Amino acid sequence: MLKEVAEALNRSTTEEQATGEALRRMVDLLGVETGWVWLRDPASGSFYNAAVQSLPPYLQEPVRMTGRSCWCLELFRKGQLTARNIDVVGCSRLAPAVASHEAASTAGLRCHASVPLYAGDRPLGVMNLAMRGWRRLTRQELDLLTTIADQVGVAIERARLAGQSIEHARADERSRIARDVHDTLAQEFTAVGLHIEAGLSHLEPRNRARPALHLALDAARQGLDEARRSITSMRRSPLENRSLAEGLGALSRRFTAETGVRVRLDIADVGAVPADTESELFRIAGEALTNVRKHARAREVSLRLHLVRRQLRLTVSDAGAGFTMRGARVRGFGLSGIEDRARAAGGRATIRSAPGRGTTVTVTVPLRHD
Amino acid sequence: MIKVLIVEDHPIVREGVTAVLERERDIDVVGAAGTIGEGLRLAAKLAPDVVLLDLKLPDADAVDGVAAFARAGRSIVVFTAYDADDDVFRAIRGGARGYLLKGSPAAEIAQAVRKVHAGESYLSPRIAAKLVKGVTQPGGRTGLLSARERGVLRLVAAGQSNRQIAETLSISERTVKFHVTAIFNKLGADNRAQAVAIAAERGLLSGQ
Repeated sequence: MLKEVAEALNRSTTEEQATGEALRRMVDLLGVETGWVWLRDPASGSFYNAAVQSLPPYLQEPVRMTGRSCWCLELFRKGQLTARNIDVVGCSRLAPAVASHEAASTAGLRCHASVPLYAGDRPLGVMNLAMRGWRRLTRQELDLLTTIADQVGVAIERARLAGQSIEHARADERSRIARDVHDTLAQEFTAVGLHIEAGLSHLEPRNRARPALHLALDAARQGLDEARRSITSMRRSPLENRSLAEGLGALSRRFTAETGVRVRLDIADVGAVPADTESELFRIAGEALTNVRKHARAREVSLRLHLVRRQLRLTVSDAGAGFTMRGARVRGFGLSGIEDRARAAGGRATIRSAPGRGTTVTVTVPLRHD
Repeated sequence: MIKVLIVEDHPIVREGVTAVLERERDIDVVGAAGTIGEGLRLAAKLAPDVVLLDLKLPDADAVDGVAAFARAGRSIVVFTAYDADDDVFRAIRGGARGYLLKGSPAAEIAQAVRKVHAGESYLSPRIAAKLVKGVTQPGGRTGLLSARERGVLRLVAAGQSNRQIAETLSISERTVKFHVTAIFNKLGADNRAQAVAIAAERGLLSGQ
């Protein structure tokens, strides 16, 4: 049993896989049906809902699952929930529905075992396994839960680190290139221009070398402008030196913490992407998520980034309320902002939606290889 | 003769600037340094009128460099490849009265040196245009300056003298002086470049 869990976790390469896999196993182990996982976003410190299984209707409403504090998160935050005292606590999120006897919407659930997740001594989050009533966990159950929780913590940490080291290497590489561009190209173009000007000042007004030198001077200034532009666009990026994948991850976690709407992230390794393009795609993702938050009433969003025939494709889709294109323009859904940004990145945006049929925003940007 | 000290860590750029400034009859390049520390030592020894200062030097943060030369009582023209708003604001707040972009024509470099030496300010036209056009933050408190003062300040940013502004706006030079003084007081600025930078940074120039 333990070996099986360990193997499954070892196969998980992303945080989403690891938490999802772990939750399925733990639910089975305790013989319950329902569970969910809270993880703390390392960047912002807020909690987001990272995985769920068979939530009762009441908790399926995203508004119930935002990162706001509740009993179990409060205990965890205070460090009172540790591997030694896995406990069954009444669920404060379910409490209002329990109090008004909405058995259908709570599926009869009222409390949960809260298993703290740690990586070594670093707190990661809480896994909740829901139950109909309070019951004492057996010694054997506690031991199993504790052991598996440790493995889950390690798996999450490993998935995060693996993602980070690749991304960090890439971000470092980028800032190194930015420095190089500045230190060599920009300075050399500056010097070339100045020396040409100094040379020109020694020439007679009608000297026939002048036109050629003026052309060279223009070329040097253009080169400098180009170097300056690339430096500026790197410094101005909303990604703040993170890679696009890291940025989209952080954006999604914050979105889930604030709205309770989970984001299914599917980010492929798309290699090096020009800084301008990354910035625009990141902002488009942000605007698309804002639309989901304001208008979609969705429970889940899918955010994908892939390389399709040398084109970057960003897709943000939900199965929410949807809209008619005309209604969206009238109500100002920021769709034209998305279209403008896609054009600015040299690509295009397609927005498909219909009332009751959800919304899909697809942006494709060709990758230049020059 | 205006004595100029160049502080710039790229030898090839130092030589280029020296080559073009040496062609000016009224400008004398008295020395060149590759670091802030060396620059300060040379400044103490050579007493230059104007320091042409790169913002990216190996031994100190750019703005610390500006402040160090300002404390030493030198007139500073920043000479940099960067045109990021933040660099401009910080350098000018730190006491630089000129801000030149690398790639500026030789004549402009000489003009900036002369203006700053004469106690005036000089911003590269591209920088001035950027500041005025409003890299300005939305929601700035445009109310601090009157519409007339904003108009005057835009012309200041474009490098116009009080007399030119008077002509452009068809008002007397005395009135222009009055507006400029009021702008300085409201913004807490010591000079024209600072007034433009502060106003742009606070989003005061974006209104009509």
